[in-house]
Amino acid sequence: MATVTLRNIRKSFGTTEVLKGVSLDIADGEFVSLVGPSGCGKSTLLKILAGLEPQNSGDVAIGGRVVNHIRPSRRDLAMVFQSYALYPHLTVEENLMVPLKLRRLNRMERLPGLGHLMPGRRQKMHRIRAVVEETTETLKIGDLLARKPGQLSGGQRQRVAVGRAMVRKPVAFLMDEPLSNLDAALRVHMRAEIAELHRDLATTFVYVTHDQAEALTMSDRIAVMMDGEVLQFASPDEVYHDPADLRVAQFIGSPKMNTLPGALGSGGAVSTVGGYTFARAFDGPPQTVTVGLRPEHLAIAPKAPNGRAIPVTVRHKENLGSDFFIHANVGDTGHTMIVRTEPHTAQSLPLQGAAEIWSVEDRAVVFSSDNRRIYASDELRGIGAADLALAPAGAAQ
Amino acid sequence: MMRSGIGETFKHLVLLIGVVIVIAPFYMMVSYSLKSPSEIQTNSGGFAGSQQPFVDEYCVKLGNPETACTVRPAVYNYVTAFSKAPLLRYLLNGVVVTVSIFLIQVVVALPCAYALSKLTFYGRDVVFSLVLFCLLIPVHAIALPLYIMLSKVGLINSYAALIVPWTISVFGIFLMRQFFLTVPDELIDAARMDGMSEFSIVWRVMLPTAVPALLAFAIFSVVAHWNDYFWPRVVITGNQDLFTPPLGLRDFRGDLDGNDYGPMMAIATVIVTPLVVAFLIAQRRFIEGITLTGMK
Repeated sequence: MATVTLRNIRKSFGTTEVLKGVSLDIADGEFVSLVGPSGCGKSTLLKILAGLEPQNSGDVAIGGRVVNHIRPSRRDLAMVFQSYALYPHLTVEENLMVPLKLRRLNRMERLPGLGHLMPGRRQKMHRIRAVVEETTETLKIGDLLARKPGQLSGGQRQRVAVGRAMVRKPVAFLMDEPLSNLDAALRVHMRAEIAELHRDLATTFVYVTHDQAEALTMSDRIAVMMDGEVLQFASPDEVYHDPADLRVAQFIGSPKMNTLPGALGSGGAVSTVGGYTFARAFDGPPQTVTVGLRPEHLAIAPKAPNGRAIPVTVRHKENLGSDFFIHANVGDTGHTMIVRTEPHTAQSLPLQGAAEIWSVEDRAVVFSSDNRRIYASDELRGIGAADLALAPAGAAQ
Repeated sequence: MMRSGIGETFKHLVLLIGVVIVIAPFYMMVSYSLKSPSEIQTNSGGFAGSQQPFVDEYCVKLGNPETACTVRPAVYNYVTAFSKAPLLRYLLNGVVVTVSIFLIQVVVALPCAYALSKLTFYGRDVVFSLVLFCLLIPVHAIALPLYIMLSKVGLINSYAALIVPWTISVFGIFLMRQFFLTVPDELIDAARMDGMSEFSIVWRVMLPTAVPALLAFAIFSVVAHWNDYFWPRVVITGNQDLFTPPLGLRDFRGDLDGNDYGPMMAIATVIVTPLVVAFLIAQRRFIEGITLTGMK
């Protein structure tokens, strides 16, 4: 149980700077995801937190104690690796016992053969077995104890890896893409299990993933990283609905947010392709902007009800059963948009036919040319995003 | 079908010739070790000889009656081998030397290979280049300096002289380093998180995962030093108690004016047998080791 604080962490490999001054405050018992495309520095950040990789500058504090020069094992963290990293020559039970043996038995007691003669070892081993048993019961892997990792399926190995992290009762769990080697169905299942495990243990979790869906479904807060920087650190809802940066908006959400070129006029009016103008006023000086529209905030029909719409050509219809995703080309501009719609609307749209797209309730997120958010005048500003946003008008420039 | 039949026949013919060339010396060695001197000289009796008892003339010369000196060839050859030379002592020396060399080589090579493959430190690549460079130095080139050094510290005619120069196996370091490169870094990170020291990682994590590669190395190392004639010849000067099997064989030949092929081939067979048996036992794992190191 501990807070985790990263302060201005920098790290370079040769001349490439992978982390450019990252700061994060993770509360006790919080589930935080570090999410970003591969190469954004999230795994390096996790390794620095674990102590497996030294940072060039900055501080790592766990439970308020600065641990910069403390060895990984002394930081009292446990880590689950992408490849699970189970000891291939040991059985599941022995794998689970390793971290406990290394902590609870002294050097003499760990000696092969001779160690068995040491007084007190039996009691200690008894307690270790009890902890292992308790853990295997929680994870339902009791019947695998005698097997070696090579004889387990991916999901079982994953559970054993989680178990090896759990037995130590660490102050925080670090997970480095633990689900990425599983098949899609199992991944969804394990997502729920890990979230449940977090609720049961009420321990701090730091979870690295490149899958935005994992981050959204499991986290209390998400740190979206790109190019060695944290772009936004906020709750899943806030990151999704109130992105502070264009790159965050594009990374989070599936299918991706539609982005169209636009212009912010002098009165705060934003217009985009096809002359479509939003009714809301936005705060900011006149400039070219990028308009972001989530597929579910858009509507499509052969003819828009109020005449204000973007004319498109339907190119492809993706059937998800409950919904359809309509892929459409915006005139000759080369832009494509994706709109979520109901099956009966989709059926009324012929392929290659003309249609019109409009924004429901004018929900658009607008970004300046340097990727920063431009808020509408009547919009509540995100707490985490406030300092990144252009507010008040033009002040941040 | 016909064409492939001819092709297959040709291939097998070529391979069979290869097999004959490789097997022939072994065949002769085992065959001679079973035959009587006259059969060897007349090249008769097939593989195992007729095993007709013959009279050992040396025994007769010593004044024994002929009936007491009548022996079966195979028995005669092997009994002579074991009685006229301290063959068991030679074999024991061979075991002591090869096993010590291999164990110390492993103790040195594993930490070196671990450092060269998994730790980052300034000058690592230079050190590795030096390792590769050392692979190119033939032992015969440095035999004399080594001999002088050992003689200055008074180690000539000792087990140490047979063992010490071989304890650092550059080939072993290279082979294990290549194998360790295929071990995922995450496994080492996991061990560090669990609280293992770097030395524990080498012995408790890397060693068990490297068993196939170690077996491959063991075969190379043991075969090379079991069969080595050059180095024991240099550092063992006269003390028969320290003779390794190849030295013993040479010594035996010298004793018996080079004519008594039967007992000599019996010695050769006895010397080769431990290696052949060890290989047959380890064969499966050995091939696993070779393919494992070659594949990744």
